Amino acid sequence: MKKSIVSIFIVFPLLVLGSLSSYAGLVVVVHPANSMQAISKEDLKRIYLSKKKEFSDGSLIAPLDHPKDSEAKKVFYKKVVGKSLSQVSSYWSRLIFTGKGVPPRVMRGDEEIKVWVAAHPEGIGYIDKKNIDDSIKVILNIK
Amino acid sequence: MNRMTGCFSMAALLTLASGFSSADVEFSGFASAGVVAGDLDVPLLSGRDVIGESSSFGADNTIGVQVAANVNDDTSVKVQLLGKGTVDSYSISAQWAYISYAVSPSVSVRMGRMSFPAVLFSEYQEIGISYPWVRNPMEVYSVVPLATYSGMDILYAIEGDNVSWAIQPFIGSSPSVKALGAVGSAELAFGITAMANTDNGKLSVTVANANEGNFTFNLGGIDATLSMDLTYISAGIEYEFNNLLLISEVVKKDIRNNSKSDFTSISDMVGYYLMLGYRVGDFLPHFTYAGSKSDHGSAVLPAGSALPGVPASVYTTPADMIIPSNGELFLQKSYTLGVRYDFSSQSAFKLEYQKIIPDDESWGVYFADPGDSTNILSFAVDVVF
Repeated sequence: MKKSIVSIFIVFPLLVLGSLSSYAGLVVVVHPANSMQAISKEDLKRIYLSKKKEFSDGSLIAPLDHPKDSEAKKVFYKKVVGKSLSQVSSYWSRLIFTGKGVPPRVMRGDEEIKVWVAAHPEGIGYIDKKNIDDSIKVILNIK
Repeated sequence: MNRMTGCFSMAALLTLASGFSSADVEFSGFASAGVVAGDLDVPLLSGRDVIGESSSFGADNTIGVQVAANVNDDTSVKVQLLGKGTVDSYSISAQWAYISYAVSPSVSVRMGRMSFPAVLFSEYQEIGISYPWVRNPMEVYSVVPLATYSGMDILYAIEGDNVSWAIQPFIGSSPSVKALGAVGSAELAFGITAMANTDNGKLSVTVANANEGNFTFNLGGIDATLSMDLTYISAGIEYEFNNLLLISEVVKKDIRNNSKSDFTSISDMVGYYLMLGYRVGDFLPHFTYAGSKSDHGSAVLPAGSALPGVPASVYTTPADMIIPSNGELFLQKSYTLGVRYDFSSQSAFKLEYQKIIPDDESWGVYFADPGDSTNILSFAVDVVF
């Protein structure tokens, strides 16, 4: 009994530490050929709220999102948009059901976002820093 | 006839939508379920519904299902069916059914059936999860008895550095729709909304007209029709600063009776409210003060008028009949104390206490004199999917 309690006290913090260390932070990525080299948090926020729809060259932006209630989505919206996921959901319910906006396309996770962005110059997404590779270009490190 | 036309155009839109591959069609929806308790023996106007004792388990029950199909990059078709509880039954109608064409990223044109956009939350007042209350303040939302119109609008968005603007002119006609205990229609409906959006909120101004509006009520078993031209002028603000949320609206309804009316006049009206809320995590406690008043008294049937459905040769009113007795409809104020709790990102529950105080001898938003004041407790669950 004592042993199991001790092991809970040792193993649980290790598990928490382990999960924290595997999460390296979020980065915003675009197609390597996209002329954009950096983006401000403010512009990113407007893109994900469908208030900014075009890149500076006039081409349409296709923002990509993570599944509902995923950790990456929670962190992204808190840090970039400044809203909880329930506030975001309220916001979109007003636009979707009045035909005034289309929410970002929902992908299954980092891998699918990378594949889509690598194939579409209009794509923009956010992924875990540890999953960066040459197929995409990082334009913002979300702190 | 209007209903049949509606059915045919809906069927055409649905057939069009079903012709696309599954990848082009998206389904989404929203629902609310609620219970109302308190002084409900005299039915009251509440938003677009009437709430009474018989509807205490049904007044806030709503389900909306939307099918959206993209024909190509510029054109889409949307149909939104709305099922909702009313004071005497359940009804299903097409709240929205339209084709949208994007002329450019900032301009789109829509044609079909859409919500009549007279006040700030008009277009999404059936979507409970989109606002803090169980239902929108009755002092403003009872003023607009038209739910939908058939016609076209233009959505024009202008992006600025700190403010984005949206201009929405619309024109059409309003088919017969049951709302607020009456069947209402308008031959010509038109107006314009201008909205300024910032990161922290929005400011909206609307002018909307409903010409040749007909509203048929059943009074003691007799259908009586009010015929009038209506003009709505409204302004609304929604502002969020850190955890503080402020929502406020004012609407003025001007009425010009026409000769077809069984009634001769009814009060012009002003409705307003101020809501303050404070977010504490997923909880949003809020308080609302609302009021409505008539610009002048309302003489309903002057001496010598025939009663609706009764020939003048049989009976005419011996003296001015004024309803209510002091001629002041809609004079009231109300206090609402509530809390919204988002128990997941797509669902919320709401608890609300409301005290409604009609002015002396006025009926407020009730169908008969409710007495000094009434207390209502509401509970609702809202979801979006």
